[in-house]
Amino acid sequence: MNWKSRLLLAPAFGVFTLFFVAPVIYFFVLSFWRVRLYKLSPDFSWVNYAKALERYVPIYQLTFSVALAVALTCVMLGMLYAGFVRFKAGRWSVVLLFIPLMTLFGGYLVKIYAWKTILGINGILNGALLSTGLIDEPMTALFYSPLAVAITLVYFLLPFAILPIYASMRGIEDIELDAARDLGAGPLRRFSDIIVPRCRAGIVSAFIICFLLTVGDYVTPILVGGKISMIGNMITPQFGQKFDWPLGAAMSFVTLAISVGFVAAFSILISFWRPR
Amino acid sequence: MTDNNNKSGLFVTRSFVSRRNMMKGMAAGTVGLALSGAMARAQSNTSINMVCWQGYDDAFKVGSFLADNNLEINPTYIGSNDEILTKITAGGRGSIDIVTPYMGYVPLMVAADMLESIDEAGVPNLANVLPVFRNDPNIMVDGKLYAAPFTWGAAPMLYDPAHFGDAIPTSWRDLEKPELEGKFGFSDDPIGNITIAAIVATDAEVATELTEAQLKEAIDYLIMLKGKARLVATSWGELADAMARGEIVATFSGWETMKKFVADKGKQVEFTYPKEGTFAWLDNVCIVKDAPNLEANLKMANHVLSIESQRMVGEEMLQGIVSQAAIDALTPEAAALYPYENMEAFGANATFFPFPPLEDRDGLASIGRWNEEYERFKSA
Repeated sequence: MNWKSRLLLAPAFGVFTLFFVAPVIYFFVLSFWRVRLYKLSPDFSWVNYAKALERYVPIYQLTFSVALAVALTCVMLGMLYAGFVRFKAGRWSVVLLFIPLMTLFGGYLVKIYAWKTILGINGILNGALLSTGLIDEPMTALFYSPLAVAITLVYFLLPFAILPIYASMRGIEDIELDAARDLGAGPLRRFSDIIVPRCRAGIVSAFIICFLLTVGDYVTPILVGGKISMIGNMITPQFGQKFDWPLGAAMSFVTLAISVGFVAAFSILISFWRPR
Repeated sequence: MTDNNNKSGLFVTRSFVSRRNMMKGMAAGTVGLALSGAMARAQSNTSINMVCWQGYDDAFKVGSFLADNNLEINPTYIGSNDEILTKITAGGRGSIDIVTPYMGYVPLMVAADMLESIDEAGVPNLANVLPVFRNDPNIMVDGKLYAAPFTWGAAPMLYDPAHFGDAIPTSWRDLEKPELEGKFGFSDDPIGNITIAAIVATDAEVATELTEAQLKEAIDYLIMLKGKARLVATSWGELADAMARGEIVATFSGWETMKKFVADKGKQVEFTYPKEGTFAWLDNVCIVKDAPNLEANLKMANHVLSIESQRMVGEEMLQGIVSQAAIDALTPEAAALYPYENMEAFGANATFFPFPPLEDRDGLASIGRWNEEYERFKSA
């Protein structure tokens, strides 16, 4: 790389350093500090990490369970949809690909409020089930529950799973699948031995996007989660209400470390997927 | 000749857009923009940054006060009083003018050097404030006034009369009944929730002065109740929304103004003060240290204590008011909401508790410990 190229990269590097690297370093340092009467006090203590790991174990369990469920559901549904668009839809593929993209045009909050009107006790779903006589009284488990959080997030994140998987599938030539079929491979074998290995990058990308966005989300649990809290709901007040930035920072880094662990584990697992 | 000179529009355009003309035009434009900006600034209103509960800013907008003084309010709504402290600490000093904390927070905020003392001469309407509020020990620190009390109330239980019929709830413990399981909600208000839990489930004489054991009992009670609840809302508005949509039929703790929030969404709910009692609160206008518009802030504190503003708070927001002159002018319906004639009767159901200790002392848990224990409730 010559000096001109480096010079051209300098602004991007500067912005990245100033707005991403520097804040991360600042909050990492802060995570060892203390707060006394609404004032930050420099220190070097692990007490915030100890608190983060002791107090919030059930919250971490719930958060990562929901994130795993949402990410895996999005990946599976994304595979199905992208596969249909790529291999079966023919001339309708452009239209079918545009449909999930259209859902991205609506605002995030609009989607959450839409699910409020669908899943609520007087919502569309309960109304339909009551009117058909399938239930006698409204189902409360549909709303203000982890299920409601998962449904809302799957709906929101599915396009982010479909797009990278579809992009990977575009690299698979029809002739490869035809050749496999001619050699006697059934649909499952073709899926397992050709499609999945060739889409590995797209699958991992989809998983990472859906998993991390779910872990960090704190608005959906507030609006449809009822009495459940995810880790974002516990970190936000440390910054917004309690002014315990060091604890909030420590909780964030613990969350980050666990998330990296999950992502690494998924990437390793998927790398073991080999054609038979 | 004239025809020749102007025969082509292109010629005219080219000759005008010479470099010299362009420079002249840009210079003239810059001067014009600068002048128009200066004139606009001269005519624009002073923006008052206020951190308050949703709806409190309306009390300052009553009448023509803001227009008369070329003021406009830029409100930031809070979900808990703690947010006021954080917003001031996290860069708000020097930009935030007014905050409206609960009286218990005032000594803490003074100790943290967050508040400007109030020049009483600049708030003549303070003279109309009932002595019980004007002399609240929380708002005077070292002989200086730091808060102008303007509204008060208690934490009631809100309930849906369509669900309860004649058997309206009378006790906080009614929420433990199996028939209400999954049908009531909390607001995420640490001090309020712990205080009511302490009233109901502990033997503490003062519900905000708890030993470690009593604090643990209160939190255990809240966790038990959370197991039966449907919702822990992050704001009063969200709790009101859940009531309006029929998701819940009762609340643990509440705010009288929620009745209006729910009514605005087309549903009628009522509130009651359960027999075990509840906490009362007194909210105040406070001026933040280094506030950019000190003189205007004093005028605003005075305005919110005027008869017209106080009547709006009492009649439309359904909150208690502090000005005797305004109480005398209330409609009979609004006056009947609170025992203005006999505050002792109100005290039988709702108590103005002191703030929890700022530090552990005499075996009592500090506010820091309250917040730590409350995290156990949130995590449960």
